Amino acid sequence: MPDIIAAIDEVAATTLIHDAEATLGTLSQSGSGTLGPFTASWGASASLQQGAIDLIAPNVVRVTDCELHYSVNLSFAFDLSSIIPDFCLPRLCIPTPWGDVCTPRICINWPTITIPFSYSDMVKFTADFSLDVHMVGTDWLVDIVIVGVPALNLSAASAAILAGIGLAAGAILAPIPFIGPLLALAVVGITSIIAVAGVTGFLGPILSLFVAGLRFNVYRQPRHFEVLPSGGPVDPAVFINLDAVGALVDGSGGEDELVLSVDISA
Amino acid sequence: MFDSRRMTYLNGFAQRFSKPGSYRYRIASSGTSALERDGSFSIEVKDGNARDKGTQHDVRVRLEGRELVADPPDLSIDVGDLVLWTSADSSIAGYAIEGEGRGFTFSSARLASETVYTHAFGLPGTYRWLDAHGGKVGGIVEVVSPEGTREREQDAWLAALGRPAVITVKGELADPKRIEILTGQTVAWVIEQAKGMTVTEASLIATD
Repeated sequence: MPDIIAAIDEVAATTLIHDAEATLGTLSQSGSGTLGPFTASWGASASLQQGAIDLIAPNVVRVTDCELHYSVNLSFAFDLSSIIPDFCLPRLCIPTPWGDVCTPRICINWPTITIPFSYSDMVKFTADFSLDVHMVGTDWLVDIVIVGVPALNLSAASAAILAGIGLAAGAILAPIPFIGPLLALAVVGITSIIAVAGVTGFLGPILSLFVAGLRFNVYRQPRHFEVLPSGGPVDPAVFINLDAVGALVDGSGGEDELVLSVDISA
Repeated sequence: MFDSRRMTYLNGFAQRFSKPGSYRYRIASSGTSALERDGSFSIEVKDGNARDKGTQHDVRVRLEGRELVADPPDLSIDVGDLVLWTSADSSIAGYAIEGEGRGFTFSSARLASETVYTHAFGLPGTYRWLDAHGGKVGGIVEVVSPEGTREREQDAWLAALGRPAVITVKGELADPKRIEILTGQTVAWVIEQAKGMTVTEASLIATD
């Protein structure tokens, strides 16, 4: 029988998780990834908010509708010649009073272009977490640790990003001399070779970085701590040791509760 | 931007040689200050009966090391023939043809009688052109985007690119004064009579 048993219900556990989300703050990552046939460099930041807790005995804390708020900046460069065909102004002849003057063909070398793009959105996910009690230094910690990598529904975001990339590409390409009606062809070419699947394949691994191994700390306490301050020269402070800490989800009382059990010694 | 004093791969300059003799010319690297020197090239115009319609001779301007060179460097032509200078190298920032011989000078920076200057317009917009040497000649080139993106419309655009628009210059008169073309089309200024003018985009004059 443990010396101390503390229990909280799902409402209180939800508050704990929300506090833990706020403590976690905004996370940042950067790297490069595959965006369709292109290699894109990216930077991303994300924070977690909301979510309702469902406690499932004996060891599952399910967070439902947790919100991953994220911003992604990406940039990719490519040779425009790989998207639209080579283009040459034809040889043409100018009538003059002294005979025709015929100019040679002029071939246009399409440039390498860089398309930068930013996108912010939120995606909800539901994930199961397991309880993890451990010591770090002289502190006892109770964390909940995500089990596996939750599926993120990115289809809407991917479609929006693809459309945004198309718009960004149009703006970048428009000032390129001689692109004329090939502009639309180029934009269609870029978006079609990336496709929604390409964006999802790019975005998914980035956002997974923010949720894979996700860990919220819900309890932290020094192993040795003062429970009563000194009352005077002859009344010293009282310290106790937390010798063992356990955590589980218990539904035996009719309501699922997150239960903390502690063995102490003086 | 276009300026007959600073020709690029989008330009051509043609000169008719109506007098026999030996001419030397150089390719001045007007916009390529890093180039070490400008070569000197020749045109031998043989005497004979000048025909109304001369033969065209093409000279390519290209970068050889750090020098602008003419290819071929020397020409032998008949009186009344035309020489057209162009460059296929988009890295050449700007050049001018400047030559002289037997009391006659020719220059893309001072377009005189019996010359042609061409420019292919790559972007839509309204371009006002004038003579940077202060002449009153000038006009407007309106470049519009072709309509539609369907294959048939693209084909129509590509076909239009093969049709140059011609502006004839006689003294201080340009005809037509205003011209409308599609993006990608070429305008040719046929200088029938002039004492030494430029075809220069007005916005460049303000920054000179």
